[in-house]
Amino acid sequence: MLALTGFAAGWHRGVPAVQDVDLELAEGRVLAVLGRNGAGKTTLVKGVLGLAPWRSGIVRLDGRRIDGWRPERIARAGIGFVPQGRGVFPGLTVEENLRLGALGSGRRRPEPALLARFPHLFERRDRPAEALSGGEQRQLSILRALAGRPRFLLLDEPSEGVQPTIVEAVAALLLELVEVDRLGILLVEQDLDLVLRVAHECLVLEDGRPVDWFSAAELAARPQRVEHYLGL
Amino acid sequence: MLADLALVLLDTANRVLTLLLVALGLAVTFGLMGIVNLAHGEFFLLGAYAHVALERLGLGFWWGLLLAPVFVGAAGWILEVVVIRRIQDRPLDSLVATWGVGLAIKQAVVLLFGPASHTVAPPFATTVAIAGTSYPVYRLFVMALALAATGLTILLLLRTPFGLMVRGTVADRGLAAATGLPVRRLDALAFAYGSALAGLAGAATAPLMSVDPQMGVGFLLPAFLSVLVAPASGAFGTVVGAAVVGGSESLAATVVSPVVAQLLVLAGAVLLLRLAAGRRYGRER
Amino acid sequence: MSREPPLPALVFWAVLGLAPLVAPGWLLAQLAQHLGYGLLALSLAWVWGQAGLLSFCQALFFGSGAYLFALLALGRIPGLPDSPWLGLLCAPLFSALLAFLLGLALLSARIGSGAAWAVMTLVLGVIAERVAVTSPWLGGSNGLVGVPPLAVPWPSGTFELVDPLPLYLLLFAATALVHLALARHIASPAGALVRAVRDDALRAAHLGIDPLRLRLFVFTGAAAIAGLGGGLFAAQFGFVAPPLLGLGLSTEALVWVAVGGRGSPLAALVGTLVVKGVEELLGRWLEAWWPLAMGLVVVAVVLAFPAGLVGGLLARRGRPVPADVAGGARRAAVRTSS
Repeated sequence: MLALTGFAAGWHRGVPAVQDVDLELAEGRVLAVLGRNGAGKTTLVKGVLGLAPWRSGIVRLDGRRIDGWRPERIARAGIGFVPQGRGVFPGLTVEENLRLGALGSGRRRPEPALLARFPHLFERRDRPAEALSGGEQRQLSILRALAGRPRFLLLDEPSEGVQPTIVEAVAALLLELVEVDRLGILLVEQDLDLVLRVAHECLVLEDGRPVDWFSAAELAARPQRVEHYLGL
Repeated sequence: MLADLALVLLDTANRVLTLLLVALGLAVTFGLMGIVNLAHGEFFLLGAYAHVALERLGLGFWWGLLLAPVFVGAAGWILEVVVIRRIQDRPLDSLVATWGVGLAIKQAVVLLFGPASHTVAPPFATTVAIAGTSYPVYRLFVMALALAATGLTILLLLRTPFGLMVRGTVADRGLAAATGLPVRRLDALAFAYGSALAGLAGAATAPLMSVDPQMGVGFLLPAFLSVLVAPASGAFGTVVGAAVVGGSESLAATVVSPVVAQLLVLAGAVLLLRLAAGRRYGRER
Repeated sequence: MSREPPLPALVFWAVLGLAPLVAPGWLLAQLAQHLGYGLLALSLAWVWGQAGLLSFCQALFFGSGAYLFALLALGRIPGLPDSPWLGLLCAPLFSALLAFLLGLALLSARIGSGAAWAVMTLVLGVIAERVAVTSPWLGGSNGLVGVPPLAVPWPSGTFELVDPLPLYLLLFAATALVHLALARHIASPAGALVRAVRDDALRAAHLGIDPLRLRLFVFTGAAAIAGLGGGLFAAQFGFVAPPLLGLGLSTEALVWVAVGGRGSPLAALVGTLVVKGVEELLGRWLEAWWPLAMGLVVVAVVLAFPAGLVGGLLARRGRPVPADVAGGARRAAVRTSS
């Protein structure tokens, strides 16, 4: 269980970029975080990971406080991260990217089965990561995070700027991770279709604060409920 | 005639490879990690003086050569943890701070060992005949050592998990941390390794020159230039950079005065950087 | 800091202006010398603090001004009369020309303002000193001695500026005027542009500012200030020597400015007078420990007082320390690899 209580992080014009966040993420569940650009979604994720300055509140991983820890320690505690954008180590090959993911959790090599999840990446394993297409880099970023065998995965807009076939492949992978591997996933996303496919619950942020919270079923029934939050 | 030519070539190769040995540490700390350590020349000095001190303690030459880099590596580790880490996001300040550290080290050496020069006896004083000229064996040893250290550094960076983690941290620090890599320890270790290379260079070249508090300066600047003009960061590029800088300076010095040779090398380096500007500094604009 | 609070500057110059009333001759002579170094510090504060160009060769322009003054005063330049006043006029011009040409070669190579630039200036300073040492025309390692002082016509013959009081007044006037001009420039829109380029050259370029031009302007102008200081130094002491050009003096100036505070010319000036003053007081006792102490003080100041000791105080009086004084380019900006 990953639990946030009264969490605030980041800094934006003299106030925390995100604040008053309470949420619980259990294994085998997907929580989507919605909101406009600048609503504080990325800061929330980065704050949990220790990459954005923590301001106040409590973050618990299985009851153990991890707020204020260094990012590498939080990662090693079992929280994987797929950042916005490319999210790969430029200048390193596909295989080296994955090996770094494994090394980050104290393993020498990633499991061989990992690359099998995206066979076209396996074919390109000796290529430099920046030579891949944007969608392939996103997939590599997810595999790199999985190579550390996290129990929770935080993804920041994995569908952004990626062609639909890859979004489809990512969605399938996320579902498998949740249902088979029982990962807990926190998904920052603007793409409602992807959210509807994988999420169990949704949290809406506006101006750095949570303003709404509903189940995926409610969202499926009335998608227009979030449209004005997203500015659609 | 042949003997003269052989001597010029050997001296040039010697200069290039000695420079490579000094520049190699910078290739790691400056070329790869992007830290301008102005105390690098003093680390070179520390290596030479550590060698002197260890010999005084009765340890033989080889122990000195082995332990001096360990000592200087530890100094580099301390510098990273105490100074450089705290001002990571202020690169110009780290230049000033490391310069201050260098000044303090040099002056501490003067206070401990006096301003006069010391000597370290080479382990083999023999010469060997090459193409009609006789050449000191120890110089050949230093050249071989430079090549071996370069090869080892390349292997370390490209073929070991440690090297991979260092390259990952350099490529994207935040991502490396979020992946769980111990970025702080990697910074300190990589910096210590680069410093240890400077110590090795000082300890290895100590028998070739008079060991005095000013000895670091002569190598530091061409070493920095070598890393600057290197076509790629890391050890491979530095081999080329050292060859260009050391080779041209050494060859030019056979024709013109050393000062003019240095001016020529500087002008050449500026020219090279200008030509490469679009590629390497294009991002800044 | 964009604008210095005027009160501290007024107090500073008032104290120095009243000094001749109470200070003995030896102290005035010393202060005059340190004010000359103060010009070097002002030059560095402009280049480094305002334009973000950390220069390890600022003494090169101090020394070149000093050498040019000496050459002209001694009549060593063929075709030009031996005139100290002409020397004092030409010293800043020559230093500026030198800086303009060097800046043209280096800055337009897009070596920019990062590590490559700093290393290049380091090499320049070292080579310049060696050139002076090996050139017989420049007097080799002994330098040039017997440089005639400045002289003004006087009813009872010519009056040479060799006594402490007139020299002090000359240095006082020169440094105060340069400080005033620099402070006005810094507070002007042009000064804001210079800082904009320092903080983010890319953004400044997008706004239509040419970063290279502005940097070249500051580098050249600052060299003129240093050259003036060098010319006055030669006029004061009657000799010039290679160390005036070299890395040693360049980095000493760096200490003054770092300790005082590079964000404000006044802080840099105070830093110079304080560090040199302490050196005069304690240097003889500390001997070889002095450079050691100086090195450690620099490290401590950089770590604990990024805006400098005086600069921090001035900023607390005026406005909060802006991030740019402490900040500058991110670490990524000096990465030489791509």
